[in-house]
Amino acid sequence: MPDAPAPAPAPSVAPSALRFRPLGLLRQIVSWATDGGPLFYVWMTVLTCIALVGVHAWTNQVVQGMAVTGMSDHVSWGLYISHFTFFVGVAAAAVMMVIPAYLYKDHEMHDAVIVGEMLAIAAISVCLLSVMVDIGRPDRFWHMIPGLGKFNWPISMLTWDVIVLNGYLVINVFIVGYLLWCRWSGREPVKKLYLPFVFLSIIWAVSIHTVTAFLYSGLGGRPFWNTALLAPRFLASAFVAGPAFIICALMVLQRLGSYPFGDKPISFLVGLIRVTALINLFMLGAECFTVLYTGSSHAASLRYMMFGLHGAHGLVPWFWSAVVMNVVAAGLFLWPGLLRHRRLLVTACVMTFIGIWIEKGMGLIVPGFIPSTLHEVVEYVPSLNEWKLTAGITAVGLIIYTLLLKIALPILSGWTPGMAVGIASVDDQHRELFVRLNELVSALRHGTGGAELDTVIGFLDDYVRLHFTEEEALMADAGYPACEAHKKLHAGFVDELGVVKQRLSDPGCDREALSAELHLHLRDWLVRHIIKADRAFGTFAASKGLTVH
Amino acid sequence: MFGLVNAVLCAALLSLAGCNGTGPAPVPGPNPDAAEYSVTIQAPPPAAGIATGLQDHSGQAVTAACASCHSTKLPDTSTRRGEDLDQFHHGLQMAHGDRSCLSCHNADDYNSLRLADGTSVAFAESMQLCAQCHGPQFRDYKHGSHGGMTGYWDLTRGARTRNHCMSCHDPHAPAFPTLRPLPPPPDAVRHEENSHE
Amino acid sequence: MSEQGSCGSGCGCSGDGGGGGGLSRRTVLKAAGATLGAAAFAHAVAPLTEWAADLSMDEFLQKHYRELTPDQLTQVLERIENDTREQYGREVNVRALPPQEGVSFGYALNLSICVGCRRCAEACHEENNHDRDSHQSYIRVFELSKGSIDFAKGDPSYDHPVPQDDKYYMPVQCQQCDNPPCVSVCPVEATWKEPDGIVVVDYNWCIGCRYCEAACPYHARRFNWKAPEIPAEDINPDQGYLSNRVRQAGVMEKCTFCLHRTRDGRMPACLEACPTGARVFGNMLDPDSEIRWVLANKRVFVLKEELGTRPRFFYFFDE
Repeated sequence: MPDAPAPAPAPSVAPSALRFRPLGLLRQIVSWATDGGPLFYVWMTVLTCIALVGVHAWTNQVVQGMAVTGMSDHVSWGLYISHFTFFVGVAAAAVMMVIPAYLYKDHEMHDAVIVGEMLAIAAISVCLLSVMVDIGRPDRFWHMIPGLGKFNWPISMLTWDVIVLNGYLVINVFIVGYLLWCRWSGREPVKKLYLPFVFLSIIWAVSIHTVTAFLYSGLGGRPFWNTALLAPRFLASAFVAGPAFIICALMVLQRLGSYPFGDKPISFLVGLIRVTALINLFMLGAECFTVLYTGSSHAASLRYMMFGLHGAHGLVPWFWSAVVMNVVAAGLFLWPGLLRHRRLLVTACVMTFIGIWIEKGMGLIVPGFIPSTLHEVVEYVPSLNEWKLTAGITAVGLIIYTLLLKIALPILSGWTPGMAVGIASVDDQHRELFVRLNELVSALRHGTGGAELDTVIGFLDDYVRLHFTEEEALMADAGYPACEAHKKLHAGFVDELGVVKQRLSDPGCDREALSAELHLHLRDWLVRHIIKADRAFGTFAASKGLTVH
Repeated sequence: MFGLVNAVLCAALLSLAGCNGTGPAPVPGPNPDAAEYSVTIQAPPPAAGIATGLQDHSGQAVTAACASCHSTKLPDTSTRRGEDLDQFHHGLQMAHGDRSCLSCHNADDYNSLRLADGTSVAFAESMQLCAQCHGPQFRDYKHGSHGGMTGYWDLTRGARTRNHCMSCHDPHAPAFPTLRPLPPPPDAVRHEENSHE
Repeated sequence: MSEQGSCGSGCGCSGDGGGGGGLSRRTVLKAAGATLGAAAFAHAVAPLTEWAADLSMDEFLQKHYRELTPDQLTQVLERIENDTREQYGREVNVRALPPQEGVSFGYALNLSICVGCRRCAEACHEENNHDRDSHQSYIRVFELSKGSIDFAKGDPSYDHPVPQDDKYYMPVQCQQCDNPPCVSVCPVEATWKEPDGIVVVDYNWCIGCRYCEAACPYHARRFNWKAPEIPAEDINPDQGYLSNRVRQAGVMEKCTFCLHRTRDGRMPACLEACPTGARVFGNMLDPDSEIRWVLANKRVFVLKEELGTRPRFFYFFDE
């Protein structure tokens, strides 16, 4: 639903800034991160409240001891470590969009990659918090810091996990930060600087989940975990749950009009889940067969989870609901028509997300402890305190994700100080061009029809012509030598716009596709044109002392 | 394979840790030539007497020495069960295989016991008598793997006290008594299958 | 839809944030929201300040046990004695007995004569200053059926006269493995194997991640889910830094073969409590020791040998 974006007020950054100004960026970031409509404020308030409940629960746990959890010496890891394991997968999966975007240079995926990598940052934050709240002596956290404490590397898999998780966080922060900064400051990203890290992040993503699986599979005393299939299963399920979340995030962003993503990232991710969901179910089945058919006492954990053991049935409903959700979702993903039915797509994503959350948490960490190593069956039910804390941590993750998106999306889709030409009137017009282009994309996406759409596109068309005329006049006045070439570039853009108008008048036009195309081609054309051609003129004008408005 | 890698890594790490100090250094161990403290075996309950069921004026049970009766009465070598004893030994439960009284008691001198070869042994040396048949147990006992003890594992630093056979085994009914166990740990779970048995 | 002002319009969301045109209504509201949030946060973490006040700076900054100088160790032991006096009202003596050269401890248990009376578990409970409320002990005794050594068919919760004719009893405690999985997994080296074979925990270095508890195949490790509660008169004042001193909340603990006794030459408490003498303890490097005789003459076995943990706790049956 379509609220057409309101005309934007003038940005706070001095338009004539040709140099990069860190303070300006900071102010801009703060304002992007904290400004929004009522829905944004409600969303952030609710998340903050949940996060505070979590903080309070953690305080309670530190003061009273871990006895406030449902854990025991028999089941010594519970909801926190389950949550941790699941979100390592979500973080690892973000990389699945990097592969097509950078390895195969799929341009349309580029912006969506940033959405994925930001998810990685938020998910890793959730992981680190989940581990922090699980340790009994948070005051001794410094014992784990290499150099200060005693870091049992390379023997302890947990130290490997600390390294890979923090490393992954740093790599993703760097890639996202660098690309956004380049966009902001109007530079072409230097491939040598970021591409190695992009490829490193692909390997690293696999490593975070592999190492996390090794945490468990390396324990010979826990037959339920002590299987070589654990790491492959972790990766397969991660590549289901992570993309499912990104699909939902992209759809929400599209719906809110925050950013006009095309549909290609979504269809790519659906295609990915089609494969990974089946692989995941296949491996689960293979594991079940091997364990159950041999019928050794090693099957006890699985039997407990599937059917109950010695009268204890605590995990049976969890297990079967996860299986049902994952199977139904896998079926839905296989159906070719899913992409056209957005609601069903969201349902499938949510189902598989929850299904895998159970499969990797309550369905993997907890049964590893039941029965215990001496075959005692002590059940585990998370306490209210654990639920509160887990919800709080998740809320913090969502807050981080929301704020990152709030900062990144405007940089990706709008005018940035890096595009400043140095001539106030030109810069103002450029800003306005972006606003109108985004309005058009948004109107198309929300199915605004008829007269209203004509108004929007007419509005853009008029403004383009007005701007080009004025800019060309300025160039002529200044005696700009490349004026003619520049005019040709402008004419090309006007032509393209004309084609768009024509296509729109065709009643059978695929508006979704058109909006994506508009967004990508026209906007990218504009960005490049301003950064290269217009700024060249700006430099020329400045050299002539022509910084007039 | 991984064990090997692990061992190598451990060794490397230990050598690193060595530079940082490894806590209080080991102190010299027990000196094999040092004088050893003693091992005391708890004295068996004084035997050589039987309760008469009477009490003296201070309330003490009155016992009669074995010889008071047995010096005049001839023993019945066929008595093998407690129920067959009709005088003085009322209620004595005999549950020690198919031994008869005279397998151990010395018919020639009731103030001592008798080994299978006829040698008499004092009551205080009764362990020899047990050892005739219970060789493996006696061997285990001698090597500290049968019978309770307290004190020092390192006899150069302290003494040890050991149980006697009779601390736990009544010679007439030597089976170890059934005990009420101390309560189970509160987090222990009774398995369903077992509770149905 | 509500995001219109921010992102739908590209860069247009920056309006009031830093316009410089005085305080807008939105800036004031944002500041108020931030203040409210900060106040709520401060309220939520308030109990922490009390908790942190109990934690002395010396304790917080204490180095790893193996890196303490003798002077520092003396101070630490003194501090622990003072803390125990303050918190539990009991005068105790905490020692840090070093391992002895030429001593390597081993333990064996004769399953033929164990009657399952749980005296050992109870002695452990009392000796090692366990929480009285949870009745914690490092030893669990399993009642198993003759003819099977399957713990899945065992029962640690039996409460009937023992021994039952068709059963035998298997006490399980830390096996002091020579290849201990719990030591490998510890991220901070808070647990390690001493030269005399005992796996110990520095209760002041452990961060409480419980990875070792997950790694142990013998359910030998225990976590202090809360601070132990013990009446002053029940506290065993003969304490060791690495063994039975009163533990803090949030750290791991385990059986140390009663280090504070055994490094003094004495028997472990569980052995002394055993009425049948099923337990054999001693120095495996001494060829004349009882434990060596058992290893040489009995057909001993270890639990879960296939895991390669190489326990130094052995079980055997007579004949």
